[in-house]
Amino acid sequence: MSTHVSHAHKKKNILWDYLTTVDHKKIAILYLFAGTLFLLIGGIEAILMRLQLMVPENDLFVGTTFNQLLTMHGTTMIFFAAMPLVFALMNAAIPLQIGARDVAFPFLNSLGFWLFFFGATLTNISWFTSGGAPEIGWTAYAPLALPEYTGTGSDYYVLGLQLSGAGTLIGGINFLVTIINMRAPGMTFMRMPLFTWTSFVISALILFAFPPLTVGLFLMMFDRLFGANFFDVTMGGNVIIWEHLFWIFGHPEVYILILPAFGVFSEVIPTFSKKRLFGYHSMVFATTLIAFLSFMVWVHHMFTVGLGPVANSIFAVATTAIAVPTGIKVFNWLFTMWGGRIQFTTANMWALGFIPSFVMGGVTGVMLALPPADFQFHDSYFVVAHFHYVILGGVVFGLFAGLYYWWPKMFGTLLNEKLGKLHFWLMFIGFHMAFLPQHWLGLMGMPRRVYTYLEGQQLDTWNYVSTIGALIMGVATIVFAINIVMTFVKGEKAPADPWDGRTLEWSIPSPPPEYNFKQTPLVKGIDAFWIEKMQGNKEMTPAEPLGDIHMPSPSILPFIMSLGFFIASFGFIYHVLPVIIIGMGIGLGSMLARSLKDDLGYHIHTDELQEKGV
Amino acid sequence: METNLQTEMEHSPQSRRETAHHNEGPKPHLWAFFLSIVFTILAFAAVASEAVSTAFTIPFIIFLAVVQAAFQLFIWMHMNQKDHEFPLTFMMSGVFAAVVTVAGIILMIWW
Amino acid sequence: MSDTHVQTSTSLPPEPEKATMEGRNKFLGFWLFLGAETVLFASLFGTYLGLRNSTNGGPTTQELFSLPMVFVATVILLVSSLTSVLAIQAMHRNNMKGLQFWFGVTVLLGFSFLGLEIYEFVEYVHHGHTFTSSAFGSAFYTLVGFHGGHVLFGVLWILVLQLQGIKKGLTVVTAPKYYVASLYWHFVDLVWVFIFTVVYLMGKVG
Repeated sequence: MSTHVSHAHKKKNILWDYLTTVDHKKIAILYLFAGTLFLLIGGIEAILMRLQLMVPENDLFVGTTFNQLLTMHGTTMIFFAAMPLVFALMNAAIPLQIGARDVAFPFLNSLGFWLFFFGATLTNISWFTSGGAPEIGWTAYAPLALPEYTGTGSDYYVLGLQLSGAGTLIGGINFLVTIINMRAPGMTFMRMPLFTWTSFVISALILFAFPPLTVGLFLMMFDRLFGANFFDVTMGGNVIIWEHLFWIFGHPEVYILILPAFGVFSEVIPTFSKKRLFGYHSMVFATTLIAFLSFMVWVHHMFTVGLGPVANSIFAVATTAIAVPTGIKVFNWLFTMWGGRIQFTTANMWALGFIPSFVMGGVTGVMLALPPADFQFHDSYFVVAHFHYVILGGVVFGLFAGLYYWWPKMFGTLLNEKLGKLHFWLMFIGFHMAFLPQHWLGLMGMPRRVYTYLEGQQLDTWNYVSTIGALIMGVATIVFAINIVMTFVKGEKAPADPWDGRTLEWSIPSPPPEYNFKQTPLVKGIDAFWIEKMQGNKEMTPAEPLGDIHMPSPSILPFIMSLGFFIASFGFIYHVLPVIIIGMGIGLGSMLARSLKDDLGYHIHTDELQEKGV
Repeated sequence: METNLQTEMEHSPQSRRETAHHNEGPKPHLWAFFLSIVFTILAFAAVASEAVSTAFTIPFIIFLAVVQAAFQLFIWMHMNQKDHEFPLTFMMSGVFAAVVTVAGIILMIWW
Repeated sequence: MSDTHVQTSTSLPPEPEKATMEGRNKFLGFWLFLGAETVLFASLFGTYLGLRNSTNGGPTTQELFSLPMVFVATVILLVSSLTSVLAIQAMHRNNMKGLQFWFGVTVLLGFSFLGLEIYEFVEYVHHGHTFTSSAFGSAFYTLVGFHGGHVLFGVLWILVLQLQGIKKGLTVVTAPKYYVASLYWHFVDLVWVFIFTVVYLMGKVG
């Protein structure tokens, strides 16, 4: 059957290797670096905004420029930084945690990445065009986003998100099928590590939440490019439809970001408390309950639209109900640590810092869920403070915890713990300094998305403090960058199991071989590797005899396909039909090629596996 | 080792013999087709006829559409058969999200 | 393959679409995709229902729609659903000729549906009901057009698979492709059931 042997794939240069890879571990690294790049861009945009707001009546970035900065900061951070970084951890950890050799759809996995990457690049290219970057806020409300009010920047927003959204949907389906179909023998659903569980749940959320965004973006695209009237009130359109569609997507989206972070903490805290996770079943239950409720709360973003007291009350009740499963989770983490032997590694520091920070964000969330109070808070810095507490204090802390935790598994080297702790403390202090004062600013009446304020309105001090906090976070990021570079230059080699871990990924070498598991492991319970350790085994019990391993072939098609749609997007934005035809031709042609040419893959033979040793 | 063999067995063609539909004739499909045509005619007739009141027609034709959709899913797409537990779960979740979306949007727009 | 119940000459398993891991993944992944499509069309339906009375002075749903034509279109799609299921049953009997024949009929029916839809749209444009004439027009053409686009993609996809079938025959690699294409076709028909009910019939009732 196999026409190639694995040797054929080893001599390629590294760039070609990454362009064509379908290996989930390499795709994880691609997601990590692309996500980090956009995290830096979004971070710089944030610091520029904070510099403008540092002192009253500043004129550093005013008007349109400021609007572009705030739009691109929000869009980049949510779609192009947080999402790919979540996918980086999912790609790195899930197949290893469930004892699989790869994901269900390696080709689609690569396609998902490249669609995201080209989408993100497209949106960011808008900075260099004559129309400039989008200036419509990350929510792109109509009518502001209609062609009467904004230029091509909005088109870049719509098409960039459409591309990257397609990539995300593909990634979601891939992980769902991977987790359902590819689990090792004995790995039942109720034995899965919690990170895999939360990833499973958010993949389902992606599956159902991204289509409304796709539709919303299509409607906006039709209005902007083809003269449709969905949001044009003079022609009978209705601007509220955009808000509904956006938030039907948008609220599940914030859980899509936070739940994997919860999963990371549920791995990190037990590992570094040397105790099994407290209340595993209630954690799973709480996760699915949050996912279920997330589809019934979107109107809390729209309380001030005027949908009436009945609608507002229903959604207020549903929203406050989410505090219950979230509270269950927080207590479970605390009880996991209770009586444990807590190790203050960098990964665990992020987890410990997360709990108070996130609880503060959760409390302001419940405050915002009450319509009468929300009427006061709406569109003020109080809201800005709230969502940065949950997203930065929750998602970003979770991503950093996950990175410090899984970095040795991903790269085979350990990040420096001293620099890691410095990174944590600077980030933790900077974060609270930047966003705690924004609560007061909001309550004192400072509106969000406004580029300046007058002197002598008691807004000066806290804005100044907030900017200092943002700068400290910038320094923290530089420390992190130094840590990464130093680790690559002379990083300490990581053993297979540096943290005395509990789950399957720590039972194989760091970094794992391309086939992950030489023999598929047999899972005997929750924390499968820990069970083996307690029985005195150094390795997992294999579930199969040593045999040839079938691997999928690398392919350049995902890259070319995404490039085609990327090219077509420019045709749509500038109304150039030939460019649309060429781009779509490349994209659809690649799909056809994929359908016609069967991927036979290649085999790694038993003797080769033995040569490589463990 | 045993567990693995068992899973292999589960996925092996042998164990599917009983449920595999290669033995199943076209009969249920022809029935579903016939009933779909009947329901379609009923729906069109209910709308075309002056005698039926609007208050009755709309719930009636929506009900007929739901039944026809169920035919597609359960008979033609085999959603009720073995190996379809996850398709069933996820389609039903999709229907839930769909109903919330449609009901949410139209109720709040019509109010 | 000691399965004595397989009466065919080759050793194709009884459910070839689920015989390999890749096949089972494709099967499940495609069902999940259909779950996402459900929400996608729901969003379009919600939008349409919100905007269907915003005719901006143009023709209303009652004035536009012609029930006989929609009825014919509905019957065409229903028959094509039946033929695509017959194609899959032929596949389960390892009957490649039957598979090709019934999928061929499905494709022809798909094309005739598209022809009818294009004729219908041209008619509407003559009545002043266009994509840009009103919010109702935009919502109508987007919803029905998305469905039509799915039909178009479906017929082209099945055609490509049929051409592949001539060369590759029925194997555990091609069988899952036929199976999911047929699932897709049923789903497209399912959406049409709601379109003729919600758009056309409810439009006639008012």
